[in-house]
Amino acid sequence: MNVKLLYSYKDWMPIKQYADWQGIVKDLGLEALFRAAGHDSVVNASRVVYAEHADSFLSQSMRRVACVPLRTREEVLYRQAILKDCLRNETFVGKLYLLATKVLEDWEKLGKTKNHTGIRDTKAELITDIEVFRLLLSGMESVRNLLLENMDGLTSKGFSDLLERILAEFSPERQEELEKILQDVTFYADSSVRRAERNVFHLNKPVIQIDCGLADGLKLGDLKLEKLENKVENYSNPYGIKAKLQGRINTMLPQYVALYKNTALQADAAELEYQTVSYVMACCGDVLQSFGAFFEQLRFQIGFYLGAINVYHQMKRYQLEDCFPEVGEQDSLSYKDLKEMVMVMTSGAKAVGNTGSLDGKLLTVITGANQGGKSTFLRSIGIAQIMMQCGLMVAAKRYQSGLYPSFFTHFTRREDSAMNSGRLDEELKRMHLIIQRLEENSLLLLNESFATTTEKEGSAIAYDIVKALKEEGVRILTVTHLLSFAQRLYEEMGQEGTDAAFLCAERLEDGSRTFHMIPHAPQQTSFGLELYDEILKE
Amino acid sequence: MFHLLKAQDGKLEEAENKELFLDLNIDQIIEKICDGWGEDVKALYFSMPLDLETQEYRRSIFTEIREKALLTAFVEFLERMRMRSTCLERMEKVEAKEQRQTWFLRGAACYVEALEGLKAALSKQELISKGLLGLRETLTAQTKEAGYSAFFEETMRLSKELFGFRVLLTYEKDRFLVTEGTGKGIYDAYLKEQFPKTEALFKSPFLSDFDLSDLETEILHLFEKNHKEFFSHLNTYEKQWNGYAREVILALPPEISFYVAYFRFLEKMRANGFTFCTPKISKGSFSVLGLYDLALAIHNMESDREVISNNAEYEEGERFFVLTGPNQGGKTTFARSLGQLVYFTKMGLDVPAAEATLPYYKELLTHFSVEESSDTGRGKLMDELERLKPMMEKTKEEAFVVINELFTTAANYDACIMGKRVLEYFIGQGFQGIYVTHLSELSKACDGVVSLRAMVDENMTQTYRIARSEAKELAGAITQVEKYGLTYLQIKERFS
Repeated sequence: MNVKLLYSYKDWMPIKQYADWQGIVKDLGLEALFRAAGHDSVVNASRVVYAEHADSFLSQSMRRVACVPLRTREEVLYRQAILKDCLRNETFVGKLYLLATKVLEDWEKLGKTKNHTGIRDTKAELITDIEVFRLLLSGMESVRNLLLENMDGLTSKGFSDLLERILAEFSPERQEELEKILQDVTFYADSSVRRAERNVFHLNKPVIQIDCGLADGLKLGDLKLEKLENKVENYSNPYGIKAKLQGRINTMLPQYVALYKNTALQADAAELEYQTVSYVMACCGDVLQSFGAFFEQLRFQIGFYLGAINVYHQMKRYQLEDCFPEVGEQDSLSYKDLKEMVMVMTSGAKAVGNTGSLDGKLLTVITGANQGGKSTFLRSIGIAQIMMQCGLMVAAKRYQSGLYPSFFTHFTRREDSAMNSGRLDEELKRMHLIIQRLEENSLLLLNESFATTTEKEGSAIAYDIVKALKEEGVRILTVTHLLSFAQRLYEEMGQEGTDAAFLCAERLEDGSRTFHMIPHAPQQTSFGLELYDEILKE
Repeated sequence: MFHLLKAQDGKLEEAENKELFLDLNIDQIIEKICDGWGEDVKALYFSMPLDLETQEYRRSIFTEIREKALLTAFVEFLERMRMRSTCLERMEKVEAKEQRQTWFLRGAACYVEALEGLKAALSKQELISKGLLGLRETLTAQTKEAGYSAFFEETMRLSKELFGFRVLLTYEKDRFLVTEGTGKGIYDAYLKEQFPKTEALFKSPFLSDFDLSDLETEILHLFEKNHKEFFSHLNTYEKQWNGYAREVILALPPEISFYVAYFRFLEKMRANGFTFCTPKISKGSFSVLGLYDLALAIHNMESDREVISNNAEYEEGERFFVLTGPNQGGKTTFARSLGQLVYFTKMGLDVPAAEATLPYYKELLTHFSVEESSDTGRGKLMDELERLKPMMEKTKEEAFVVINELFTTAANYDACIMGKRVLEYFIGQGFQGIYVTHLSELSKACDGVVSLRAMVDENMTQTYRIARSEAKELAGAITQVEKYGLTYLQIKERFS
């Protein structure tokens, strides 16, 4: 049975991930997002504070879901609707997550075996399987009830479809049928003598009827099960007169093979019981497996939403406004008060929001003074894009963009920058790998790429690459100190109405920085030359 | 006696040069072909027929066996004969007389069904190959033997009765009630309804032993009382038909398996995109397209890597390839693929190539030096010469010769002279073949030599392609940008 809370048409599978996920996580600092997903938030004296306890499973779920981009507007809307439901019904989400976790933990305690279709090795394992069956059945019932109780507050298609599926595939009638089979094998799992009333003891005994052929050398073959039942019998002490008498009578009736006082026959009968129950449990194997997989998926998928709730709380804690992003035309990209939330969450600093529109701009070149917020702005776009592409809210008043499943970052971290061919080689190699993996709907964020060589050489390399990729329809946002590179592009496409935008970190007349990106020609007073000098002097 | 692997009566030749199979990696291919087919089938692959008649006798059988109805019939025949062997093994293993007789009956039934089934299938086909026509004749003769029809009828009647037996066990209150069964499977049906997808089988717990368990013995005793007549018939049957099996039939399974195993192997390889063709035999012309090393193909298939195929041809007056080129450039692979081509042609089977025409070779001779041997100098040279000696015996005729890196330990000058002599000798004998060497001088050694080279691309990377032309080497510094294909033009190229 499928959970389908992440996609309307399938359960989670870790396929079609971002081609360079490791690089993206590193360049955008997404670990902070995953960490936030793992931390429950508690309200303390009307302030939201970080809970000490972290659930790494929630972080994991967020990390794994985020690394597979959504590819259509419908997919994004589907997840957003569920997330909105979850934000309105936090208690329910928490309960559902706990329930799934509990079932899986109990299962683990019983000894979770991977294979439910093969023949069991030992009697103990078979009994365990019967117990697991019971556990999963009652777990399924609880999920069904929990959903039924909360259905009034849930409006998303994801949850209503889930309930519908459960009602169809695990209806009360179905549950009853499965429980009947469990009942038929009770004698195997529960073979103790019970006291029913004074001097009356009860014992579960099987009734098994098997039809066999004899063609295989007169051994029992081609077995068909005719009847299987658990029969509660009055217990009689096997050493007592009554049992002895019955046993003796059995041995004298010609139509019977009696087990009385014959240990070899008793052992054979026990094997037959084992094989019968084993067969019945193997029949249930697929259903058992599907319920098991259901709980695995449920915990994982609902874990993602619980993580998203936690992220939401963190955003509130840092007074970050949020909105659900809109999937616009493929070439759209506009934002209102967009903030870089990772920086806020890790350093606690206040962030400046950026507002603007890059609709229709295939290429965006960002230049300007150092420490002016260029990289922060670039990251804020990247983070918002990743969050949008996994169905989350973003830290902005409004965010609209196309979907870019082929998303790459190529960042040069300043501390790594050094003028040596090894670094340049590494940068070129990374770029080569990116180009190799580019697909349709690509977005490439370049941050100070090719600053590891001379301004002239770096500019030439960057120009070639950016021009060629742009012509091939790759959307590029580049932060650069390579002035000749930026100016060359500006000369070619700086006029109004082209598909290129040139932004600059705003610098007021007194030299102070506002951290706003404003449309502006590449700035002469770039840090590029200073950097060049600085590096050359080393 | 009739054979499917040999045109004339008689034994198959033993493989005289075991090293040939190792040199050409054919042993690895055989392992794969015979995977699951048993040692007796494998042994047949290590025996190469010398005569052209047998080669063609086999080829026409293998061509015809592809017919789906025939293949199915052969597979069924093998299956039944295998079942028969199983029955006989069980018969030897069990103690109870009734059990033994039951297995005897089942074995006989398998034999009869195998024989009748194959005969019927062959009768329905318009056969062309001499081999299959002979087989049909042989089978028909068997069924016309005196006493066969009585044996046939009795076997069928008794085994039908045996298969009809059902016993119903009711286990309750520590005892089993034994009655006649009907085989309805009521609870089975319930389970099937609840779990339509289940493939679980209800197996008897007593399968680990062929003898009867205590419970089964008791059950049989109760059952026998009601079926006395059957068991007394079974007793007489075994005594009467003890020697029913004929040698000519019993010899068939490995020979049929030889063909079926190869066919199955080809199916698997073809499904993975590899091409095979039936070689054409034509005196004096050698031309092959899309030839590849089958052992490498098997190996790469598992790791999902590509295999390069090559063409090869002797033009007018050409007799010997001399192949040079960089290390790890596919030279040995190419030489092996030529050897394999000749081997599979001689075996009368399809070859790993897109198209192949070649003359009949009586012999296939190989000489591979062991690379990276710690053995240096004279010792190894002696060894090489000693291995070369039998190849240069006068008795050898119409041979295809595969030589890989001879005289690597000798001085260059000596090695050239020796290599030249070897080439001259083989060419003089009218042999054909390939000589892989690092000595480029040998590519012009004498008349009849065709010079081939393993090619590299502009980056000096091996392409594993073999061609007649000399490879040109690209020099000049490549900038880092070009190296990663990041110039404007290169990127545009990458997208086109």
